[in-house]
Amino acid sequence: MTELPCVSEGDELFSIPLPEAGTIVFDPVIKPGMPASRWRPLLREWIFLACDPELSLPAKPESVEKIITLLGLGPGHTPAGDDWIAGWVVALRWCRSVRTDALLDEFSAFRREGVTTWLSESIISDALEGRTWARPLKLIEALQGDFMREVLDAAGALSQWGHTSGRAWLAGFASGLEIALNHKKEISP
Amino acid sequence: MNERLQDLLKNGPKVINIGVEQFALDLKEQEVPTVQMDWRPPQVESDLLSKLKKLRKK
Amino acid sequence: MQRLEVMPRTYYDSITLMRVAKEITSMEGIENASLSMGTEANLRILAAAGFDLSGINVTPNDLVIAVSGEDAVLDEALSKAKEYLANPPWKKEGGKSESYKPRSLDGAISVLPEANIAMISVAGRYAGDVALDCLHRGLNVMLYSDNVPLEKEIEIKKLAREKGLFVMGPDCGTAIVRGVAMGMANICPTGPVSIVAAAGTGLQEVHVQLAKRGVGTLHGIGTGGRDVRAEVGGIMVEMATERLLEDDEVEVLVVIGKPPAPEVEKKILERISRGDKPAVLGFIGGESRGDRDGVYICTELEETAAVAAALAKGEDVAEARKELDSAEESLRELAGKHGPRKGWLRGLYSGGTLCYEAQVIAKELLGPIHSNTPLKKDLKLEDSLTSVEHTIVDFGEDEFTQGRLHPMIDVSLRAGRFVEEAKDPGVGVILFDVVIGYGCNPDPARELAEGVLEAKAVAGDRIAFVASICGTEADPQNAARQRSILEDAGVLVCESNARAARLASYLLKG
Repeated sequence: MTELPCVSEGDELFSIPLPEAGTIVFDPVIKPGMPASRWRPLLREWIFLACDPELSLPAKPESVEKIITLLGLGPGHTPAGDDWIAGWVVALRWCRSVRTDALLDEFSAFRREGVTTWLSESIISDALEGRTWARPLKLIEALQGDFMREVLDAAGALSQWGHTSGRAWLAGFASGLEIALNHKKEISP
Repeated sequence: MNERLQDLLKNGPKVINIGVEQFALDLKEQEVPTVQMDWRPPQVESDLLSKLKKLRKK
Repeated sequence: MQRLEVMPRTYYDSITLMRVAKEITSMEGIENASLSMGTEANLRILAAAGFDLSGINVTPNDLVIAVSGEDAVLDEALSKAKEYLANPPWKKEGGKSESYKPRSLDGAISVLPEANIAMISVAGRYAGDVALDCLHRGLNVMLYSDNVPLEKEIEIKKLAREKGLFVMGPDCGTAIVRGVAMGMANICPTGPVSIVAAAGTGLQEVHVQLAKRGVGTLHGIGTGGRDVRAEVGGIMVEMATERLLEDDEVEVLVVIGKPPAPEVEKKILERISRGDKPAVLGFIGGESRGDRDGVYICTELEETAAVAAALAKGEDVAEARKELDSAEESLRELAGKHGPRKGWLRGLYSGGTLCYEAQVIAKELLGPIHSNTPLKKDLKLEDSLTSVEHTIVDFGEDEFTQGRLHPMIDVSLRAGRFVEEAKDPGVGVILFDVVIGYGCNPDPARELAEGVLEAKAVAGDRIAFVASICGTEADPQNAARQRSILEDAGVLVCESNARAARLASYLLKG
């Protein structure tokens, strides 16, 4: 598979050379699964990335109602609150169960359009439909496996996305997994 | 003998490095399995924490 | 002009902070820069440096950046500092993003479940609690941090003993485990000798001296200098001795340190005499004398290594000692060739144990030696920056390392002091150590040689410079290369610290 070129904020899109030959294949669908149990302590610490001073998000919002209030919270193109929610939704889609589906239905029911930026809205909508971008998928794949390097590299790439976006996403993701895994038995590697 | 001490002395160090990152880089250069921690001080001053712990014990 | 900025709840390790401070200080128009956590002690230092702290709200969890210099560049300096913190220029350019670093101990253990030791170098006031956490999770500990309170050290070591785990330190700069260099340590072959050391640079020197004699070291277990004091009671020295005596791979055991408390020395001697391995005790400047059934008593580092090497090779110990005596003879001859010099000896050291050993040797030959870490209290320097008569200074002491990198990493303070000492017409010899290996300055000889040349420009040929290099050719800095840089600057480079101290003394004594 050929990788897409790296694009940073402010880059002239058309000046970036695309790979010439080969088809770019990217399947954004999140396939149901679960993290290997050995990574649980790592997931638990990600929850608290939300408490970093630049983020100052709640570590464990106790209800969907509370989670809705995070929409649009924070500066930037994708406010930190939205990043958190995007991660949370991806986690619930990944470790799917009756319980997580119910939570996501509740979330969709509460959610109103126009509360946050268009970019955030489409990222969250995609996640609700079970799609996400490459870095989260890489992390998901790594967490299903048993290799430390892959997990640390994938988590590193994610946590350094944007100034705060990646950390907020990871915090939401871990928070979502905490809920999802408490309702499911883990598979050991 | 404690298993981990036995392992340390018989099979060599496998290190969690907490603090100065250069030490982890030096260990990796010697092909020692090493994890660098991103350690941050506890939000409450540690001496205050230990005082609290002592109070709880009483 | 001065400017201060507080970065709330921001933490970096001290080495990063000091490196950034060094970079900023070197900027055009900047007089001074300091990056430190907002502890009371640090704030006092800033206030003493003339910074106006009124109206500043800061906690020990906040980072304070302080710069002084020309008004026009202060803003640039502050933003440079933040840029360097976020993206240190000395870090190797790698891939696009760095790997994730676990923030919790449990997270780190989940990543490396087979971990068997934690290396801790966070600020001393936190380090003790971090060590306790590690012990509770079944990890051995190397505690590099200093400024860990004595009571905490005792608490940690008692827990470690209960759990059967090692705690190397606090203030343990060097350890060798199966030949792996941890902290400030050298690349030497592995082999039949293992060392228990209550002395950091002492361990480095014995490790290196063994390598020079073609003998390898398997383990070098540091205990921290305070371990052999009565309050701690030698908990770790005893434990490490016990383990290494039981270890089939260990053929010769070496125990080194400053002279321990009498009850601790008795304990060690007892344990060692019960063992079935030859053991060498190297208590620098100690009172004990005389070898006895398989236990060899030494008082210097090179001597300790020479005796241990002879034992490991199955050679005659008496012969090894005789060789050292004849080496001393040739040092006298060398001194005759380059001397005699008139006046005082000034020793400028980065290694604590090496400084101590130099004092022990120079005292025998020259009389009282003043120091910031003197052998006797009444010889303590009033001001570590001002030498008196014969003086040997340890630049690794607190007064030099507050807000500064250790002199084994930042040699500039010592290089500058060469010139200061050269201005004193009473000085005849300057003695110093060059410690290399992992964790040390990447090219210390270069900067030190510049200092020597500057000093020579002031004093001409009046002052002789004598040094020793603690390191090997396999070290990243390469001992042979370091040596030739110093020799090109006219420094007399000796094979060991003990020899350098002797040569320096003979140059003055004649």
